[in-house]
Amino acid sequence: MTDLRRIAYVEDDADLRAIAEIALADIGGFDVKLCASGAEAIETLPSFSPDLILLDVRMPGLDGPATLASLRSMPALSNTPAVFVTADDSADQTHALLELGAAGVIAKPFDPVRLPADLSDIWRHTRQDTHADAVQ
Amino acid sequence: MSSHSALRAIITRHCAWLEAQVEEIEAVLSAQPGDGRDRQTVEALHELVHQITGASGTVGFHEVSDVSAHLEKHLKSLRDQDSVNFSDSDRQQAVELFSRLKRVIAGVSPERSTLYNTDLKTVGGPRWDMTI
Repeated sequence: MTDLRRIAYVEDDADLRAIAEIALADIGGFDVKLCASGAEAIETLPSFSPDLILLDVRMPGLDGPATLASLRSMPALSNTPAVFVTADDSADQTHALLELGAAGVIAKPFDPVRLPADLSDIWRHTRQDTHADAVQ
Repeated sequence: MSSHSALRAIITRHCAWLEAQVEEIEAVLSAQPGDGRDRQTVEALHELVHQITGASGTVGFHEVSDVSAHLEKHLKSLRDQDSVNFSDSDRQQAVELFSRLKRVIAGVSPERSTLYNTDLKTVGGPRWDMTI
């Protein structure tokens, strides 16, 4: 039995971090860890042990895909589902991000009221897929 | 500070940020055209406008985000061109789209955010059972 409780959000925009934190904590009841950059995520997320990582694609310095690649190299985070947030939600971009191993893609601007439910849906599907793979 | 107050503080801060973004865009647009730095200018504009598109809709300013998205799309098409200097019509279109964005931002106030009167503690109803 597994619960979605801890969500990390890596985002360089301070307002988006703050709104997402309120929505995820107040609506979803999640423990939320915010990171302002990919470098901060790499430093702090192993000890936070998130159940799911929400990653902005376009950030100065390490972008979302590069951050995910680094996080994937860490044993503690190698299998943690990651969801990208991007303003470019074209089919090509979405496909490319999923090919990188993302569990889902959320378009910017996102509705903060819906964000907890959207992440829960993605996470639930990820867990079901994992369970199905284990059964086979 | 309650989350409702915190949300309003974020919205108010975002309004000030939008005004600052407009000033930054105006400063970039004031660069002289055709001096070989058009690509840098467009890159800088695209970054500033991209930030507005991505953030404003989430903060509850959907019209700002929509208008910004139009300008961002135009800037992206310019950015993807091979030429270093852009045509007068390209530049004029960018200026016109920015003027529209500036007008929309001038009409922004915290109370006009769709989130201003939203209490996130109540909109979600009971917290969902996240257990599988």
